Formats: sequence, structure tokens, C-alpha cells
Amino acid sequence: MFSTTLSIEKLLDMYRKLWLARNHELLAEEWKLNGRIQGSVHLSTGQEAVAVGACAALEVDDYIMGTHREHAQMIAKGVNIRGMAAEMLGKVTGMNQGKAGHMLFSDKSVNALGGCGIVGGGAAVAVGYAMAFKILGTRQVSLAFFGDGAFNTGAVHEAINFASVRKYPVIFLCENNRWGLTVMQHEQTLVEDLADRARGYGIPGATVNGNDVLAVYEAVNLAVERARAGDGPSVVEAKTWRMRGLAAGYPIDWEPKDYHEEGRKQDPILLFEEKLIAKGIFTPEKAKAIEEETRKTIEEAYDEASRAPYPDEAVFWENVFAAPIG
Amino acid sequence: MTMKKVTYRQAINEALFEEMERDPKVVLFGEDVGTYGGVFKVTDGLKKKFGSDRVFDTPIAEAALMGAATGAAVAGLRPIVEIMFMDWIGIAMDQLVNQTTMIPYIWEGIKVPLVLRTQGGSGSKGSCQHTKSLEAWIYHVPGIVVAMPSTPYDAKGLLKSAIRNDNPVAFIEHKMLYPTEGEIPEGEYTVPLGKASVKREGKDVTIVALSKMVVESLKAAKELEEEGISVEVVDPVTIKPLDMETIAASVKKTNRVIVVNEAFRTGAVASDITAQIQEQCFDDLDGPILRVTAPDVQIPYSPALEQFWLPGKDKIKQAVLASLKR
Repeated sequence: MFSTTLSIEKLLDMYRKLWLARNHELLAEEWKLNGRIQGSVHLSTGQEAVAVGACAALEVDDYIMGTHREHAQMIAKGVNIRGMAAEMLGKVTGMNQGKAGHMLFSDKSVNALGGCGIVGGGAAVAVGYAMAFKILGTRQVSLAFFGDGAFNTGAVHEAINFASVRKYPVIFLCENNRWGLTVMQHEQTLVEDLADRARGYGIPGATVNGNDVLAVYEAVNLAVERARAGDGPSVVEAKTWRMRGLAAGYPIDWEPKDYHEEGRKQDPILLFEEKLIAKGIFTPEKAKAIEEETRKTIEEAYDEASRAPYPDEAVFWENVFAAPIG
Repeated sequence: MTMKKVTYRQAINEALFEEMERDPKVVLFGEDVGTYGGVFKVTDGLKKKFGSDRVFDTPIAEAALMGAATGAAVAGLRPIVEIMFMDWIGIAMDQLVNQTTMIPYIWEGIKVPLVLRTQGGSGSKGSCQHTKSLEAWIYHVPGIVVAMPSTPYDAKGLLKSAIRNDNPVAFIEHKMLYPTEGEIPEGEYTVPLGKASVKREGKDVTIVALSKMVVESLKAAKELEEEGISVEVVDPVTIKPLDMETIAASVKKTNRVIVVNEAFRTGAVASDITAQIQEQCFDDLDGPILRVTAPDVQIPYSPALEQFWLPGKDKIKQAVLASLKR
């Protein structure tokens, strides 16, 4: 059992988004392995609750900056699934006309701006979003997802310190799956709970179980309230488990067995489902129906995308400069 | 038009004042640009006039500055970010290459209207971490306009155009030009981006020179005139996009070209301008295009050594004479 102020409608939406993200990852993995998606595909399988819990605390006009493992983050923010599927296939109907690919797509209509293929590269941009909100006097906040690996980069340090001293409305969400590429957290830093670093910036930090979607929501919601009140940024560290390797097709048999056992035990969808059923919000049948519906949604989006045309050469030459120069 | 005499420094300062006055979305930030008014006093008085929300000092964090300027531009501001010395652009370079210039091309419909102000150039006895001219690095990246004015007139008018432009613009000043004087109109005027300026007309040899090398080339031209040699000096003003039309018209007239660029020789902007002239004006050339650049040597401190690095009037004269002998 649990207590929450969230409406049943919102809880169901969160559950649906978890499945939407999971089903997307399952299909994207399959399509990558059979060659229908090209390039690398970093899967967020197992990490969906971080994204869904965080974005549940945001409004549509709030901005997010994602990571190279952005699928769940962008789905949680509410991006157009058909546009996303087409982007994954490099089609002209993609949300970025096929120019972005899987690592850095964006959807302005929901302010999912956007993925970032450079580890640690996005946090400073999110600080800029928040700078604009503060100077323009809006109530918006921005949220930067970044991983435990990114937390060791200079750019993330610079970004957090800068935002802290300027009190910009930004949430630094460390999605800690304990892996920086193929190297585990303890080989990259001596710090166990990375949110401890917040104290070094003079801002609040919280570490939560990233597979508990409500725990993520509660922590991010507090950070959002603080940001909207003009009190500046916070760090939220959500510890989670990457159920796959570095990217689709990377082996995991060499990775620590206990890590993956724990990850499977802590499947974020099952954890949330058990709670919702125990609370009487829905039934196993209803859960199954949502799983089916989201799988179909993803399949239909990819079917449609696979029939869509590729961009032509005109698209290639567009926006080399996005505005007139002279 | 009533004209007045100002320094290069004052001209830039006036442009900043006028554009911040005109558009409340223009903000300015960087290291020491606020209370102190910039280490070269270029931003003097702006914080007092426009307040600490729009003009502010930042932590020493070039990556965060560049990233935040990018995000702020995406989210509705028109930021002017200062990187105090161009030698430090390396720290900001990831943001510039992977965010600032990536976004308008990849994320259809999103513009990044920012101005990156920085200054380079040697002659200050600043040793090798405060004197480099690294415009070639920025020039190499697609999607950014790069301007290098040599006169107070161009500096003011061009900066105003840069601030109003919806593309990212790198505005590269030269530290040794700050005290130089020139005439500018009393009232409002702008200088268009992407247009070269013929600083001196001549018929025997064309010198294409960048930034302070325009001043040195004009000195050389004056001395060569006494020897009966007529030199035309073309200042591209904006080096990207390059106004090849003006350069080609000059080459057609003189049939001989020297390209002058105060920068390490290998991979300098001069190399690329030389290549473009060779490709487009081959039939108009009576001899090889010669380059006057700095050597591929780090810039030493001692006045006795710095002179070996610096290109200038005498080396330009030698090149002109050599060109006429071919």
C-alpha cells in the first residue's frame, strides 16, 4: 500500500507510459538486431520509472534535456510516438525529418528538447533554458537528465554550480544505472550516493530508488516546487538498473550477475503494478490490457514509419543556416 | 552624416548599449563582464544601466557559459556570451560543436540566436595561453557565422547585425585593436554580415587580410605606394560565410593575391581562403597565391621571441614583392 496525492487518472497515465516505454524498447531492440534500425541503439529497458516519475512532476511547457539513452525520457514527456518511430528509422516523417536519429531527437510541441549524444553535454543547455525562464519571468522549469558517468564530467559540474549561484529553476536528475558505458560507477568515482555532491554546490540533493516511480515523482516534485518558488536548483539521484548492455546487441554475460538479478527483482513496471492492484486502482486484467494496447501503439507506429519515405536531398540542404545572414 | 571619432573598444560598447536598449531579450554574461566591466572594459557601464538580471558575472566556467547561452537562445532570449580569451574556447568547444550549431540544423524550426563574443590576437606579451587566434576552429564548424572586424566602424555596425541575426554568430575581436581609433556615424547604422569591404583600392596586387592584419596590410600598402606598387586591401569582415564575389572581383583586377592571417599556418583560415580563390579565380591568376601567417610555433612570451611569431607590415611587404616577381 502507499499514499499519494496523485489522481487515479494520473497514476494510470504513469503506468501506461511505463509500458509504452518498455514496449518501445523491446521493439527497438528487435528491430535493431534484425537490421531494420541502423546505427547504435541505447536502450532504457529497466530504467523507465526514472523518466516517467520525473516527467510526471512537470507540465507540458516545462523543458527537458535528455541523454543518449533518451527513449523513455522522451516518451515520458509525451512526444509523438509516430514521429519518434519514424525518426528512429530515419524517415522524413520523423520528428526531426530523420536528421537526428535515436540519440538526439526532440519534439518542440511538448518541449522535449531533446536527446544528447555527448555524455554530460546537455546539462548546461538545460541551465540556459532555466536562465531564459527566470529572466523572462515565466513559471517554467527545466529538467536535465544525465547519467552517473556524466556526473564526473567538468561540464556537468560547471552547469550545476552556475545554476546554483544564479538560482535558476532547473532540476538536475542523475539517472544512475551504475554504468558509465562499460565501466561501473565504483571504478569511476569513490562517491556512493551521487546526490551527496549537491551539498558541495549549496543546494539540496536526494537519492531515491529509481525503479520506484512514485519515489522518483515525489523527489522531483519537491525539486520542481523549490524551483518554481525561485529558490533554485536541486539534484535528484535516481538509482536504477540497466537491463541491457551499453547498447542493443552488447553482451551482458560478462557483467556482474548480482546486478542483473537485482534489476530483474526490481522491475519498475511490476513494482508499480503490484502497488496499484493492492490499492484496488486496477486489476491484473486491466494491467494486461494496457500492456497490449501500448504494444499495439508502438507496432503501428513502426509499421507506419517503415512505409514512410526517406527524406530527399532538399532536406539535407535545409537549415545549414537556419536564418538569413545578410 | 555627422561622424565622430571613437575607439574600437567604444564602438563595441556602443553597439551593446544600443542593442540592449532596443531589445529587452538581449542579455549579456561572462567572466568579469558585469561589475568590473570586462578585463578590456568593453562592457563597461552595461550592468549599471541594464541591471544584474540582464548583465551579469558568471563563474569561471566556459562550457557552462556556452551551453547556457545556447539553451537561453532556444528558450527565447538573445544572449551575448563572452569568452574572455579565445585561447579558452577549447573548454566551450564541445557545446559549440555539439549543441549550439547542431540544434538549428537537426531540430527543424528551432533557432539559436546568440552571439559569442571573444577576442584573440598577439602582440600583448601575453604568452601562449592569452594570445592565440583560433578562429579556424570555429570557422571549421558548419552553421555558425564568424565575423572578425578590423575597424571601429565595422565593429559597431557588424555587432548590431550579429545581435539581430537569428543564427549563432561568433564575433571575434582583436585585443590590440581595442585602443585604435576610427570614425563612425553619430546615429544608428548597421554593417551587414557576409559582406567584404575594400579598405584600399589598387591595381597590382590584392591583399586579403583578416582582423588586425588589415591594419598591417594598409601600412604595407602605403609604403609600397612610394615604391610605385599599387595594392588593393580587401577585408572579408565576415569570414564565414565568405564574400567571394568581392574577393573575386579584386583578383580579376590585380591577378595577384596575398592572404594575410595572424594565426598558426597549418589549417589557418588563410589556407581555406587561398583554396577558394584558387578554385574560383584560377584563370585570373598570374602567379601562386601567397600566404602571410604566423609559423606553426607556440607563442613565446619574451618580446625578443614574440616578434618571430608575429606577422605584420614587413612580412606583408616582402610577400607583395615576391608575388610581383613570379
